[in-house]
Amino acid sequence: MKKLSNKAKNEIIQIATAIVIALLITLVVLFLTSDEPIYAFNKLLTAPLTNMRYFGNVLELMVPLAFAGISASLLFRSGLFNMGGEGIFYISGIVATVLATKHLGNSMVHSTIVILGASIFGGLIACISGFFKAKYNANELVTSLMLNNILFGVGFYILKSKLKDMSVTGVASEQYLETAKLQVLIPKTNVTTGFILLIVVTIIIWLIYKKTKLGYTIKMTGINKEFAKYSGMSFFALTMIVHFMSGFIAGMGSSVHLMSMYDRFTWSALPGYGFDGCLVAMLGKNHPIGAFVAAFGLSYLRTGSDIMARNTDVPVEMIAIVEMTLVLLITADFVVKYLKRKKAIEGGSTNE
Amino acid sequence: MNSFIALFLTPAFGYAILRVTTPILFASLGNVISDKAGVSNIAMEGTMLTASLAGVLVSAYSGNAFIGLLAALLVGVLFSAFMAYISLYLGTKIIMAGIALNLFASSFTVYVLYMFTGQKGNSASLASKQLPTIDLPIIKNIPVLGEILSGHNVLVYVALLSIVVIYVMLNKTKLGAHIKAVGENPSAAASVGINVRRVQFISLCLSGLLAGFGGAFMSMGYLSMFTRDMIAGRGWIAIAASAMGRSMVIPTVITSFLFGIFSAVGNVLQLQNMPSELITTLPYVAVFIGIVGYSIRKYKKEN
Repeated sequence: MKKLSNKAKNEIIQIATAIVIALLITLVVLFLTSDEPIYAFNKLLTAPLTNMRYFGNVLELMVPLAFAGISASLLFRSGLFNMGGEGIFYISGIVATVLATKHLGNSMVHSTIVILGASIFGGLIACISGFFKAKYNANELVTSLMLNNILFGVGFYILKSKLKDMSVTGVASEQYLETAKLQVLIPKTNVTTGFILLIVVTIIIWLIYKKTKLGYTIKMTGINKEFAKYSGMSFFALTMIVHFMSGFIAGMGSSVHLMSMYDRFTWSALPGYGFDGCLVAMLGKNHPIGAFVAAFGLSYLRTGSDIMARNTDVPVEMIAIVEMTLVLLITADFVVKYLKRKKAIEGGSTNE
Repeated sequence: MNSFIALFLTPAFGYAILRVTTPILFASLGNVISDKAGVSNIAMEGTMLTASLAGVLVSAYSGNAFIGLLAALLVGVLFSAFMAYISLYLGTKIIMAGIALNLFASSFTVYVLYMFTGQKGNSASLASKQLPTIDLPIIKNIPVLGEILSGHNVLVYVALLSIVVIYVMLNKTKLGAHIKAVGENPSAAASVGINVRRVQFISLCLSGLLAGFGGAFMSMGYLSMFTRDMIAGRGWIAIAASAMGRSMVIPTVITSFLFGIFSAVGNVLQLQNMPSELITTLPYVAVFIGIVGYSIRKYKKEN
């Protein structure tokens, strides 16, 4: 028990150090490049709290980030480096759009069909990379990256040739039916019932990790690939299950996001949530609750930097510096190393 | 149908293949080096992007394309050295560091571009220089072959030359032997006194150097300016090419050229009124099939 709390303590020290360093670096960058660094810094950190609409923005944006993060963390935790969330977000969005522009039932039923349809489709698509990995050991990083571009090409083609609303300029699908859209929870924001769904998914995945054999196998396989064999679950089965779950959650994130924030499908490029999801997974240490918190943090920073960019001379892209510092410092184990070394020196041992 | 085939039987098509393949070749050779040392550098995309911006900025402010090239190379090496330090010495998994750095580069280049030009889309307002093109003596007078091989940007020839250099480096030098030893069995390498981390560090820096060449070619050869996210997936394609080439120089070069051919075919077809969204997926489909096909063959051989 004592060892566990030590590990937790180290992680907290590490995360706190990372945040402090990231903030210091932000300050330095702002002082070097802005005419009003303190004002910009203040906007970045406090603006999202100044009114409900801004805070609503934080919650809206965190939903797709958290879904994408949990989706990626499932794979990373099992030692699979699949980055296909990006393409799945796009193609599941197309599926959601097809379903959301047809009369398929009243409110609750219709939105459920849209989200389930997109999620199941996402799960099946993820199984393409999953299958070739599980059966033939094809490099899932490469196949999933290639699939991202293929799925985008196919999806964009479908959007342009089949779904496009000719009455509007630009590439956009027909309008989503009101019955497909999710119900708003906080008035004047786009925070919808999708947020509740996110909480439910986070808890379910957490319970799977904590209470089930599947969760245990995922964790152990991530540490040692051979383990799946001895746990009674084949590597093939585990890889397929994890890929399906991951794609399912990515598809859900995409459809929930679209049915909360959009009136039509308008993505003419990959949306970026898949790769952001990898960042969220890393920040959240491949844990669903970690991903939830990380998505909130990332969304908070991005909303803050957006408001800062609108009010100062600092461009919104500055936030990339903060994000990278955080990710690299949180994923590194320098604190643990430092503490170990310190202990070793105090103990008179020369071993690291 | 004949006229359709004729589109691809022109010297211009051959010329285009070389031009399109060059950045992929640089990056995939860079990947070969780092893969051989057992560290996969998936930040190629971001390294090339950052280097291409450095080349444009420095060439514009120095007025000299070659100083720009040096800057691109230096930035390529520093970018990779940073990733190497983070992953080899601070313990971040290298794939994670790569993902983070790619995302970082995508925004950071826009930020720096904005700081220098006030623009976020491209560097058109800067008078950046282009690296010269070279007419090959004798060869340029040979019909067809001359049109295909001569008159390219200098970096196209550097890319072709680097195939030989890297092949020799990996197979005939002490450094090459160390790189392969470290990649194949790090603990065995360490037991004979090779500093594993140092060799991996050097390999990553070398792959960054090649990415620097690739980036410089993109903004000072392929195009004459920097544009947002201008690498457009070439770094990922290079990773796929070296994976398909099983990290061996010659097969990786062949795969890179296959890619170049598919991209060039795509470029021609797009002008023929075909749905460009589907055509642009062609090189990716080719790699996907290639990777899967190779894995299935290997699986069948082993079972």
